Amino acid sequence: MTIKVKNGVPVWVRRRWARAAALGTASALALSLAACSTEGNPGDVTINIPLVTGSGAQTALTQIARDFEEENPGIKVNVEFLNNNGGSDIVAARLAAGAVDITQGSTGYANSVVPAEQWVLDGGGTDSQWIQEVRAGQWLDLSDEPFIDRYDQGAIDALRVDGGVYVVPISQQLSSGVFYNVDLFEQAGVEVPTTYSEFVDVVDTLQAAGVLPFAIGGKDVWPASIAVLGPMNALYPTREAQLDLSERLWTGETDFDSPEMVAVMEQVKMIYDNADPNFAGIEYTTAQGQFANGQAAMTLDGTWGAETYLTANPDLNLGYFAYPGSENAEQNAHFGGRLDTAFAIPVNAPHPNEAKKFIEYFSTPDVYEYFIQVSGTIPTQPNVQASEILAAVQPALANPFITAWDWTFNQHAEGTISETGFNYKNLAPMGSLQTPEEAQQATQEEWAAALRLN
Amino acid sequence: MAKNILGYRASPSLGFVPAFAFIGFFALLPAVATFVLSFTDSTGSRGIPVNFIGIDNYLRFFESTGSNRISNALGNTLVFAILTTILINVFAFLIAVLLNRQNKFAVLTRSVVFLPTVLGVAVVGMIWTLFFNPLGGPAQSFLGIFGTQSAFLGDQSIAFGLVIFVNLWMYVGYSVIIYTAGLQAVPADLYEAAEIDGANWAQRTRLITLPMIAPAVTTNVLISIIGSLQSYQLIFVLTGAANPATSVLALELYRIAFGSGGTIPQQGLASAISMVQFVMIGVIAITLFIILRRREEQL
Repeated sequence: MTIKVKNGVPVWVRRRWARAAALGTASALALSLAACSTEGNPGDVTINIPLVTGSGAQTALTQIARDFEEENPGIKVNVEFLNNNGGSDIVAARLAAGAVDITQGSTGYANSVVPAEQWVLDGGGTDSQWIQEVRAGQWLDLSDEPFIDRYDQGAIDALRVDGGVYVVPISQQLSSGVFYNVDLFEQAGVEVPTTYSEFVDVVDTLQAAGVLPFAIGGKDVWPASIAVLGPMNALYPTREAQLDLSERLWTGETDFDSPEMVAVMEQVKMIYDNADPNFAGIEYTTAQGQFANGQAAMTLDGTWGAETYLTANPDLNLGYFAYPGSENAEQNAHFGGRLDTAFAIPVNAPHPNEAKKFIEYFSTPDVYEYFIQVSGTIPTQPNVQASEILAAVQPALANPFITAWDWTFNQHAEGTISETGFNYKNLAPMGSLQTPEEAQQATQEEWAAALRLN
Repeated sequence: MAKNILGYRASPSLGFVPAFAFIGFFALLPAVATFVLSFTDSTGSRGIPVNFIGIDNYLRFFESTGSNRISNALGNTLVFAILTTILINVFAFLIAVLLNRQNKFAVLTRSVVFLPTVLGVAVVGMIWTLFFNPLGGPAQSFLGIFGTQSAFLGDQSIAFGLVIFVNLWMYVGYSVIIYTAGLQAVPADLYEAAEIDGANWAQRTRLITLPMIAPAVTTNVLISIIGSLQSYQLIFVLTGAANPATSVLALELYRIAFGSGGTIPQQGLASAISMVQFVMIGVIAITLFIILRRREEQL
């Protein structure tokens, strides 16, 4: 067939309707091509699992995802690891878009996994976003799933909301202890302290010997908050004592700049003063490297860090002791911790059945033990051997631990300076306030202002 | 009558439709939605009921200006915008004048100066974070020669200055390009005539260059001001959202919208703040535009 041409242009181009039809077809094609996805096998189901978790858990989960895919052809598992800074924002956006099958559930701050206490609600606080979402029916109730029975029922029950199980806790962490370099301690001739005065002596001796006592990653801000947890765990050694303080703070019976609060900040100041003078500009991962390479004798980090230190420096002689915040050695000799990672399935998950299948697979004893061994976290299933990575922490696990302060103090007043009630963010050199009194006064002022606004 | 491909007289208007639809859907609709959201207590969570609360969010914004946070952020934003605009324009102008030649070296240098803009915020943030690493980074080693040390981005008193410096480093190239375009439009015979009359470099610049590139100045100043009043990406990458020394309004908005630490996300309040920011930027931009246009016409 030949195309008729006139003056170098095909004749049909000069016909209006033909041009319009051509343009219309071209644009329709272009749009449909753009909308085409590049999925491989049409029969494949992909489940998306965005998580914020430590490096050991990342390695373990990546391998577990691959093994699951092998055993279940037709299901692809996309586990995505997000940064602590801003990861929850990304997950929140994906949840709104209905693109998440499994995630950690609580997308906000740590302590938000249980309903707020009555004194919090009376004082003007609110339930966390997580609790509100659960009550609005946004997360699946997993109480009847078979895999729930594999987990420690105490842990499961502690996390129930209105009787339902919405999170599957898969690992725990201690956060109130102190990691130390056994070799550096020996070289400086110091022993593990059991009381606060001994602790200060150890720090002074290390300084005199030219060893940096603490490594802190102040630039990322949250690592400095861990300096609060040790003193709180020692000075308020039971859950009742911590809940009592929380209630007194919320009802206004105790001010944030009262002597007991300032006393805790004094200890935080001691730690700040004995870290690198520029620690406010050092990132968390750099500070971890500082400790792992023996440039600092101690670091206040949760047990999630153990895997990082041992991977960075396999020759590191790692130790862990309870932060001695009081003068009573017995009172100091326990630990505080929290839930680390948990799985939850949103109600708008594209593939809930495959998601449950994955969690079922994950919960089987062999797979779960592998996860615990490689991630270096504390198990939530009974009769599971903890990892070699946690060898230094093993003695600490002999006794049950309490919930750390940052998971006890439920705070949701808008605009307050510090989530834990302590102004660690603005105490020099993190901020411009020079003394613990000033720091806590600022917290008290802002707390009062926030409550006025409510 | 001019012919066009479809032959209809209305075709040019029809041709605008896709562009309008695109902008309407992706820009206008979200803006209107933000305006509506600003009167609610939406938290951005699915399923949690959203209530209309009238102008409560706006009242809260202006009330909490009394506390440290918002007024601090506003102050920082204005300082950041003014300093950035002045510094970028002065440096860009000087660089553009210096490189306003036709040899290969000048062309190459102009590309090098423009390179940081192309790198993107994440890469630039990474480069300068590493540069300012207090543990043995290049800046620390340099200071070590003089026997001092600094926490750089962790030091509350100089963090803001450093952030302004990195912002300047990243965006000066963009303004250089605009100034170069303006400079190359100036007829060369004006300069020759001035030389013959005995004008030196400073006089030539003041009396010929500056008046002739007035439109480029307007463009650059407006772009700089509008951009820097709402810029937060670089600051976020360099110092995070929680640092009070470098907190700007857009960053506070981000923190409130998506929650941070112990606070629930409050998208209703954040929408109200963004409306206030929009009005503020609009007023400043329009005022500047009128002033600069008048100067242009005078010249």
